[in-house]
Formats: sequence, C-alpha cells, structure tokens
Amino acid sequence: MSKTMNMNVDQDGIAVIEINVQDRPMNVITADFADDFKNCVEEITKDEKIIGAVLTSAKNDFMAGADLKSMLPTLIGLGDASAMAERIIESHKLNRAMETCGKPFVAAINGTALGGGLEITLSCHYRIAADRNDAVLGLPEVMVGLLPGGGGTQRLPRIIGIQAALELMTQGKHLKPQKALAMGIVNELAPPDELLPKAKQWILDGGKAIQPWDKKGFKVPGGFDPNTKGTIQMFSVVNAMVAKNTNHNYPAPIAIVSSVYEGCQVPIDTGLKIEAKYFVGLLCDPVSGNMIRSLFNNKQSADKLRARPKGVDKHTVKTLGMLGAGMMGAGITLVSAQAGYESLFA
Amino acid sequence: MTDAYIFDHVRSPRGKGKSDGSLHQVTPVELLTQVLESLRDRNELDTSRIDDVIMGVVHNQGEQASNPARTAAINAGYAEEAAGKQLNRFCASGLEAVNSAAAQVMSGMSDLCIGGGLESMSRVPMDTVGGALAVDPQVAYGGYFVPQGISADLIASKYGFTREDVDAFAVESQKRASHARDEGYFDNSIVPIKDNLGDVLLDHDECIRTGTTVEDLAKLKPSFVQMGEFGFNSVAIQRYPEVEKINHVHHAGNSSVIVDGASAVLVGTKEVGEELGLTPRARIVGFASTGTEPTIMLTGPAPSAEKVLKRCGMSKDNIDLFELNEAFAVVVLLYMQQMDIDHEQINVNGGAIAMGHPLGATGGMVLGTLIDEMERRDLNTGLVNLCIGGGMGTSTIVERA
Ligand SMILES: CC(C)(COP(=O)(O)OP(=O)(O)OC[C@H]1O[C@@H](n2cnc3c(N)ncnc32)[C@H](O)[C@@H]1OP(=O)(O)O)[C@@H](O)C(=O)NCCC(=O)NCCS
Repeated sequence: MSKTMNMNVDQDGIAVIEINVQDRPMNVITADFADDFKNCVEEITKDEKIIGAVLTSAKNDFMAGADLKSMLPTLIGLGDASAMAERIIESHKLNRAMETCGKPFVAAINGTALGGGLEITLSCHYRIAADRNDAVLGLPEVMVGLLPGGGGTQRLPRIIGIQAALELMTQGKHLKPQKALAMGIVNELAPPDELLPKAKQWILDGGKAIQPWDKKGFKVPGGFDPNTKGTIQMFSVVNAMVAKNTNHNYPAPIAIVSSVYEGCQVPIDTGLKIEAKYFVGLLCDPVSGNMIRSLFNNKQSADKLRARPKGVDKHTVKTLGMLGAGMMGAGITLVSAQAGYESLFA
Repeated sequence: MTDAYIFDHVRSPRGKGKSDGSLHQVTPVELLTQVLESLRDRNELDTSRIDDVIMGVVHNQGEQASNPARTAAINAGYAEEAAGKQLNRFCASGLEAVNSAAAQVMSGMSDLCIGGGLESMSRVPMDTVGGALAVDPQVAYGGYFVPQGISADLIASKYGFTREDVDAFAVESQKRASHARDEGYFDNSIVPIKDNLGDVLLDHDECIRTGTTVEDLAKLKPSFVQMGEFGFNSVAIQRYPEVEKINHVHHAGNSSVIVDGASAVLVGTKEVGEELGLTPRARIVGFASTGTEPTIMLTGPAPSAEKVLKRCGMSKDNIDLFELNEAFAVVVLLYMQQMDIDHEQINVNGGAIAMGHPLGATGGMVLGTLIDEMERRDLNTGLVNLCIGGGMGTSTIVERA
C-alpha cells in the first residue's frame, strides 16, 4: 500500500490497481505516483501468478492529469532543457514496459480522465469507460499552452487516426464517454457497477497484450503518408487553420501538429522522443507558464472568490451603466448587453 | 568568359492537363523523348558532342522522378556521352535549366548542352506532390505559407488590381495567342507529338479559347475563395496587415491553364556551332535569380529583371521585347507597373493564360517564343522571366546573334 495507489490480486490472478492520490480531491500525476506505478508494473511483470491487470481509480473520477499547481513553480526558471527532455524520454519507458510486458492491461475508466490521466489509459491494451453523463475524457493540455506530453500525440493518432486526433488535441475538447466510444478512443462502455467485472472478463477471455503499433505492418488508421494527396491536403489546411486560430501567438497548437506529423512517420519509440522535445520546448516558453498561472491557478482562485474580503456578500450585477461610451466604453457596453445585462450608456 | 549561344529550340504543343487532354496518354519521358528527337533530327546533331541534357521538372515524383532528362536522352537514342540531370526551381525550372546550360558553357566546362523542361500535369498532378514547403507544420506555419492562388489574390488586394483589370488582361492574352497561332508564329517550334504508330496526337496548343470576351470571364467564379476561408487568407493578412481583406479575383479564365508539355533549347559555344554546322540564333547575355518575400510569392519578376539588367550593365530601355510567364494575370500587371512597360512590349503573342503553363517546361517555351518573335520583328534584345513558388524570380537576357 502506497501513498498514491493500492494493488490487490484476485483469485484469478488479476491485479487491480486503484489509483488514490492522497490529500488530493482528484487524482493527479505526482512524483510519488510515477514511482508507485513503476513498482506496480514491475511486480505485475515479474509475478508469475499475475495474468493481467486492471487500472482504475478509488476516487469518483479516474484522473485529472498533470499536477498543474506543483508544476508552475518548476516551470518558472526551468533549468536544463536537454536534461528535462532526457527525463521525460526515460519516463516513457514505463508506459512502453507496460505495453510490451506480455500481460494485458485494461483501463477501467470510472469517471473523468483528462490529460496525463487519459494518456495512461492509451498505454493500456483495452479501455472500458463507465457510461456516466457527468464524466469527460480529453487531452486539454493545449488550453494551458502545452501538448499531451505523456505519449498522447503519438498514441491517440495511432488509435483514432490523424485528423480526429489533431482536432481533439489542438482544440483541447472534452468528450462524453459516448462520444469517446464513437471515436474509438475507448473500446467499450459499461454501467459503473459492471465496469470492474467487465474489465476482468476481457482479460479472462484472452485479451491480447499487444498494442496495434507493436504489430508488424501497422498503419495509422485512415492512412498517413506525406506523399499522398490526402495527407498533403490535410496538413496544408491544418497548418493554415492553426495559424488562423492562433494568429501565430500561441506556440502549443503547431507543436502538437508537428509532433503528430513527425512522430507518426517513425516508430513509436522515436515518436515519443520527438514529442518529448516539442513538449520541453513548450515548457521552456513563458507562454505556458503564464497560461497556467492566469487561466488555471488564478482563474480557479477567482472563481472561488478567494480574494473577496470576508463578510462582504456576493453581489450580482443586473444593470450596467457606462459613462463615456467611446471606443472602449462602447465595446464594454456591447459585450455586457450580449451577455444579458441591461446596459445603458451616455 | 566564353559566350553561350542558342542554336535552336523546340517544344511540344501544350495539351490540356486533365484526363481528357490529348497528351494524357503519353508518358512524361516519352513526351520529352520526342522533343529531344526532333531537336536532334532537325539539326542533324552528333549527340556524342552533347555534354549535358539539363531538364527542369517541378514535380519530381512518380514517373517524373529519377532523372527523366537522362532517361529521355537515352530513350531518344542519344549517344551515351550525353549526360543528363534534373533540376527544380519551381515554375522557372525550364529557364533555369537553360541558364545552367549557359553557365556550363560560359565557364568553359561544357561545349554543347541542352536545357529545357518537362511537366505532365495530367499524370503527376500538382495536388499529389507535397514537400515540406506546404505540408511540414514547422515550415508552413513558420514560413506563413499560402498556395499560389492566394498569393496572386494577395497581390491584387495589396496593389489594388481589380477583377476588371485581370479579366481584361486575360482577354487580350487569348486574342494574341489566337492571332499568333492562326498566323503560324508557333509552327516552327512545335513538335507534333505522335503515338507509337506515328499518328499525330496533338500538333497545336490545345487550350486557347479564341473569342473569349470580358463578359464570358465575368461569369466565372473565383477559384481560391474556399482555400482562403480554410485559413490561408488569415495567414496572408497576418503577413500583410495593411491588407484588410483578400479580394479573390483569379479564376480559371485569368490563371495559367494546367497543361502537359516539354521543351528543349540547344546551347553551346560559337566554335562547336561552327564545327557542327549550327547557326547561332541568339546569344545569352546574362541571367539572374533572386528571392523575394515568400508569402506573396509571385513578386520576383521585377527584382530579378533589375538584377540581371544591372549585372549586364543595361537598363530596361535597352530591351526591345519582354516575355513574362502568365502564371496569373496580376503577376504581369504588377510587373508592367513596376518596370514601367506597356502591354505592347510584353507577351505580344499571349501567354500561359491562353496556352497553359506546364510548370517545369514553361521556361524553355517562353524563351523560345521570345526568340522567335525577336526574329520575326527583327528586334535585337529580349528579357524573359518567370515568377516562382517560394518567392523567387529568374530572368534571362538574350540578343540576336
Ligand atoms: C485556376 C484553376 C484552379 C482553375 O482550374 P479548373 O477549375 O480546373 O479550370 P478549368 O479549366 O476546368 O475551367 C473551369 C471553368 O472555367 C471555364 N473557363 C476557363 N477559361 C475560360 C475562358 N477563357 N472563357 C470562358 N470560360 C472559361 C471552363 O470552361 C470551365 O467551365 P466548366 O466548369 O463549365 O467546364 C487552375 O487553372 C490553376 O490552378 N491554375 C494555376 C496553376 C498554377 O498554380 N501554376 C503555378 C503558378 S505559380
């Protein structure tokens, strides 16, 4: 029993790993988590009594991804980029070990799985999600100026195809489990209480412990070949769309597109290295740190009214009056009116 | 420096570059083979004296990959000694090949070369060939890449050329090309392309639309609207913030027609000409290529013309006749404005808007058209150039020998 997960082996020899990062409302990827998970994978690989593993969460949701709160301070003044890339490349070995250890891993996604949380499940050989309407799946890293750096830019396109993966990752879209199933991100849905039995059953039914990209002759679904019309057109349009949407101001979306474009032309291990380098490039760029601070940390704190003096009741604006409606004032009046406030200006 | 002379030039007719085009059934190498055969036969060339066959091919992929210059030379029965190479300067490849041939001759390292080009756009279509420029995200995004049609519309938007301007230019191009064809101005240069039984498949430029009026063209829908909406208009405006909106003025009737074709130009020293009984028709005075801003892409002709003029110690007033490839109408309109030349001095027999632009081959063709017309009008000097993908221009000055 560790600080971030429990592992139990049932009478059929199936190991059930329940992620439960202590002192956190949601499971997030911490340094301890990585260590504990490594130990579990090693034990599962070694122990001959274990025939396969189910990865799930003991909390209401599966996993939220990287620990953005503890990440921010390390981002500011990030030191040696090459050393950082080396560490990330090293960390990919764990997922690759899990994929290639010869024992099937099933992700039983009991609730929301975002970012690094979803990426871990992409390294599993099979994914079943609880059919919950309040759960979402996605790779939203782009919203904080990053890319899915846990193998997401390599595994997702190899599972669902380039175009769908690019759309999801460059827009950071959240999907309901039904939609994730339709797109092929998860293999199956199950009512929450049948999730674990179904996951175990897949192993007992002889689920194969091999990833599609480790099979000989693997091809990216939907095809990917920079010498064919389809790929040429797709990328030239995607490149322009990214430029249109970012005005060349945000570095993450094009880094995602490049990571997919370059990484999917080479074997996955090389692709993961390419991803790591683009990822570190973004980590070193002040844009990501600033986005995490403004759009995540500070926004959460503002949403929770942390700066509000004690004892002052929450005040709701109903009518907005604007004095001096020049260019800026008129604009504020307009957006306020559009947001449904009664707005007057003089 | 040795002088480089042009002894002769030939070209295929330009066939519609689609599956119903007359040259679609001809393989690219065969197309070039027949052009090379003709150049040899009509000059009774001892091909063992040829140092190099240099061919521009833009889409060096599929059947056009792997050095069709050498392949076609051998296929045409040229002597083994005639080496061959393929080069790519996008739309100016054919002219660049002639310039390279001239450079080899001028440097004293070759006596006799063939420059020209090849493009079977019906068999190796533009949209099936990628390359980093448009496709690699780092390159395309970082370089503000937009396709040529957007660049052409950007020029129109930035410099204020209207739909009426470009359509009027296109109508005149059709008129001139029809007239030149009817008067037989192209007859001496065109090699009829035949099938393997010797029956002629095509002996004239297939796409000229005689009688096109501005009213006809006014009906055509602009071709690059959707492409612009995908995001390329934004990219163009991000590079050119002074442009408020892209005015899409180019369409099938005022852009170069997509065609199949091949060209060959024989270049060598005066001495080799005397030895082989070849009469020089023109001397290559000088040539230059230059780069310009890549997003607007097609503004290279005037800077490259200025560059070559300066290098040769000449001014545009020393030039009697101009030829500029009509990739898009606006390219020539801008050039005329920047160079301060009149339409009467340029593309006097029409251009690619009427006859087509077989990418790699065009440079050799427009050079040939210029020389033919200089002879017909008994003029002395000519300047030919082309706009180029990636933001470049290539120019050549020739004078009558
Ligand atoms: C502009 C462009 C996209 C048009 O391609 P396209 O739509 O396949 O052109 P088509 O030849 O089929 O002509 C389209 C229509 O215009 C009509 N048209 C073309 N020229 C016309 C003319 N002069 N008068 C009247 N109608 C004309 C055609 O009849 C056709 O009509 P239809 O659809 O009713 O048959 C294409 O010619 C192009 O891309 N040219 C530029 C090539 C290029 O980029 N080269 C490199 C330069 S850097």
